[in-house]
Amino acid sequence: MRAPYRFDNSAGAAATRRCHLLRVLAAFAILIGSANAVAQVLVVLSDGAGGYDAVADELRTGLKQAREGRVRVDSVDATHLMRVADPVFNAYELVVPVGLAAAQAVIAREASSVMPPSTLCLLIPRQSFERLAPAAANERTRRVSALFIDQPVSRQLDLLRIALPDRHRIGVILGPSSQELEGVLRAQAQSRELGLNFAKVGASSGVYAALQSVMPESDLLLLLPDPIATTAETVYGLLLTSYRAQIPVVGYSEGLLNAGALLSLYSTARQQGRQGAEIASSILAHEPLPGPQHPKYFTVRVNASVARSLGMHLPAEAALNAALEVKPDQGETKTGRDSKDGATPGGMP
Amino acid sequence: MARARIAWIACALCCAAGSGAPSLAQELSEREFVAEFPTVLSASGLRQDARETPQAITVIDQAMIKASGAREFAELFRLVPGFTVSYVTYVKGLQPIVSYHGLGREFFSRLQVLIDGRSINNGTLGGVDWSDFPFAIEDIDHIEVIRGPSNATHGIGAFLATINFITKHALQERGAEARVDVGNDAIRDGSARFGDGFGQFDYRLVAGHRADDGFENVADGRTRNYATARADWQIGPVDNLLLQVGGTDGKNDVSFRGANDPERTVGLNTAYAQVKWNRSFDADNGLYVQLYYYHFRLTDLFLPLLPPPGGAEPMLIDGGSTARRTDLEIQQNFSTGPNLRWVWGASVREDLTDVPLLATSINPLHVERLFGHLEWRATDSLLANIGAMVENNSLSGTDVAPQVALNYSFTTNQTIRFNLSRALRTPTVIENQGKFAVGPPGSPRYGPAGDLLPETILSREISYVAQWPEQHATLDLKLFDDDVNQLIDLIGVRNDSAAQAFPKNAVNGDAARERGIEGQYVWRPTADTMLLASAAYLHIVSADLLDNYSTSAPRTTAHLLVSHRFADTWDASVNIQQQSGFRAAGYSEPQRAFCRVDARVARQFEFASGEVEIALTAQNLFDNHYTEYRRDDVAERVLWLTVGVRLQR
Repeated sequence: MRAPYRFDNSAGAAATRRCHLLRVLAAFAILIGSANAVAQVLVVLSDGAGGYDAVADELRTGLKQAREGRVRVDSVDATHLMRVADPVFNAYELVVPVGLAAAQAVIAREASSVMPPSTLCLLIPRQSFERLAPAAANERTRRVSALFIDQPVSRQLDLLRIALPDRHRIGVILGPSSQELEGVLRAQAQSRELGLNFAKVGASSGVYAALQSVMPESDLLLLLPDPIATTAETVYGLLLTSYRAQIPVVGYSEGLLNAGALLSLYSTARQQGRQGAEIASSILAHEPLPGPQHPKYFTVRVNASVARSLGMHLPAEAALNAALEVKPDQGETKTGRDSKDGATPGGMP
Repeated sequence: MARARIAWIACALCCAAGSGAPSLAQELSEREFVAEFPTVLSASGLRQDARETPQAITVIDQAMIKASGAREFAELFRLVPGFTVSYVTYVKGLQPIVSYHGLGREFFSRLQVLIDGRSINNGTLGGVDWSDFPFAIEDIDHIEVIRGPSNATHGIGAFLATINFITKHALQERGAEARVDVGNDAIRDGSARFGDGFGQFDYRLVAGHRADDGFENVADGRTRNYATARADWQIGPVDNLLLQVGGTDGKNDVSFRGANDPERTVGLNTAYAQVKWNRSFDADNGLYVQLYYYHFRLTDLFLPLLPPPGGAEPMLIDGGSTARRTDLEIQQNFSTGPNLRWVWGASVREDLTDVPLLATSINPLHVERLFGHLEWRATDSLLANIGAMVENNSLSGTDVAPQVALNYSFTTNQTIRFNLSRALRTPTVIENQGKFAVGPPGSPRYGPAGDLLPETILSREISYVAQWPEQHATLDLKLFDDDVNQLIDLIGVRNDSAAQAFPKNAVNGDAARERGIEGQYVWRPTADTMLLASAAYLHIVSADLLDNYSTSAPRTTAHLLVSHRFADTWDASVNIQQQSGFRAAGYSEPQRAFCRVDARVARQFEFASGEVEIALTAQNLFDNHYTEYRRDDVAERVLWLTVGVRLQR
């Protein structure tokens, strides 16, 4: 079991849970910009699915390296966040919720704070974040930012073009959540001369009929995250039916790759933590809060067994990763709503 | 103020919890990105890449099945190079005979035929009851035809070739469908199916009826009723269970040539049940356990035409037979490192047979099998397959069937394959009964029951596989030189004394050497167009001591299938088959060379919740009167209309 609240003692700070005064002083020291002050960061972890600890560990390690040890990273479970007293909470310079439940808890918690700390959400889907913190799109009112868990649509389509250049007819099953991507997908596909066949479903039970309707016109199935259309229940049938029709499936997670997707584009927990640490250290260095952004570190993996069975020759994983990598001179990190369409700079496995 | 603040918090919490419309469970979260999903690879029926299989392989998919216009399962194998499809009309009525590289007789053809992994070869004489499939042709997902011996991978009886029917998974088609065929030759077919599911449990029910009149002027009409129920249950992330039960009930009209045989109707019944538990951890690690039972019964009670000598009362003769098979199989696959994949497995089988005419009780046949197979990717361009099966059976003892194949890809899309394999065919229980004989070719001698040796084949194959991915084209050429030894002959077949002399004697008498080349070319230039061409040249050398093996297959066969879809609603296809003359082994007459053209045209009408299809199929369009096993079995043009309605759920 994870302790609900964990103090970081490795920074050498003498603070204890009862030492509120010291914390306020420490926060004050940070506020006045003392370069040598120990920054305090609170990581809030969601309950449920795994991967949070790996993100938090990577974040902690990255921050300590960047700040040469001058940082203290405490962590708390989202369910215990309300128990953290106001002065304690407000004394943190940066709060990093990991996962949607943590982000929801932090934003609810901050609503009761007069001057809440800066917030950087990790491991959160773009559309959930935008619903949760609509003000983040505006640079002036922004107090909360995010590193999305999902890849930009442009990168997903670029991958299809590079990895499967002879497949131009993409079948997509849109659930209630992924329907929001329809417009972006259309626009991005058009500029890449890719054809899209959409089928929309309102309930998981409609997924097979939807698949039957898109399959005859498609030579590729692109899976999108959606809690109705792409679930543990539906994925089995989607993969099975597609493969029986010799149609390759492209996924968005390691789980889908292992289940049988031909290839998957995703960011690992470590990659999220690493980029989270970079953004967090820029915030702790008093740079302006950057806009919400898609991951710049990502992984493309190919399921070699599936590729063999489908008789497909794909470029090597390293080549696919390198081809999608956006060179640093290709632009700044886009902010707010703009970022959902464009790839963010960089790209390393 | 405080109240306003509480309201704001409550609102924020509501937003946080539900964000408006979707409930918490339906909100997109990181869970969708980190979730694990059940692996589908072992159940998906993913086909093997033709460049990596240890043998030449032909895959017949749904598009080919539809374009072929076939209404008879056996007719599909005309598409496959090296295969011959014929019909025989006596003993059990109209029976299709499918053979690969000849050597076949009316009752068996030295092929292994599997449906979803269960062997349906008849336990009495080893043939396949092609009319007794408990489902319709529409229920097939695809068929893998392994052209060559493959005991090491496909088990007992995979001698000259193996045919594996893979039927549609219960998930694949949901909703209701009904189809009807009506045509000349008294064709009256109907089938209905329904598929649905709840949670991780999916099922499909199929029931139908097939009937036709067979050859003109021959009493060989057939009727079949059939039903199958299938369920696929995904129990958890790694486990799934396949459950199938089904059966057929039918009648065949039979007209014997023997002076003693009245025209009559025989009954044919089959039933099966299958349970397969599959654990699939990832693409390279999994195992399954499968148990199935297959029951075949031929009912044939008749009074002989000629009165018995001495003025005795005529006795009712039971010409029927019963075969029951129970088979338990386990198989595990795993990998050790990225370049080594292993499969091993074991099976036990019991065949119980009852043939009253033999007047002796038939001992059960027990077969135990252990097999292993290793795939080693030595380099990016060199793949080695090494495998072996050890079989022990209660008729002929223990024997080994090894196999080695090397696939060398000298460019990305061109592969050359070398395959050396040995395989066995265990004698059937009928072959092994009575006063049977054993001996080397040329000197058959009579011996006690149970002395037969299994037939053996040593197969040498060099294949070339080329693919043009941009054109969606594949070419597969196979050059082969096979030695078949200890062929089991039924003595007395050649001099037409078989009908009187039953039970016959069997002997390991003949040997045959089969050399030739065969190839197939599949081209799908667009999603709407398909061309499939195949051809084979086969030269059989045999001393023909006891049967005419050297002429038992056509020297040349050629086949062309072209199909196109017009305006998204019309399908048209033409199917041309040519073969040279031959004379099958056994109680046969010469079949002359022929060329046959089949054609099909279909139109689909879509409506809100489904689709209607109307198709017209002509088999032997130009009414070529070629003959089959017997001179009286004359082919004619057959025309039928199909109407299908599908309602989707």
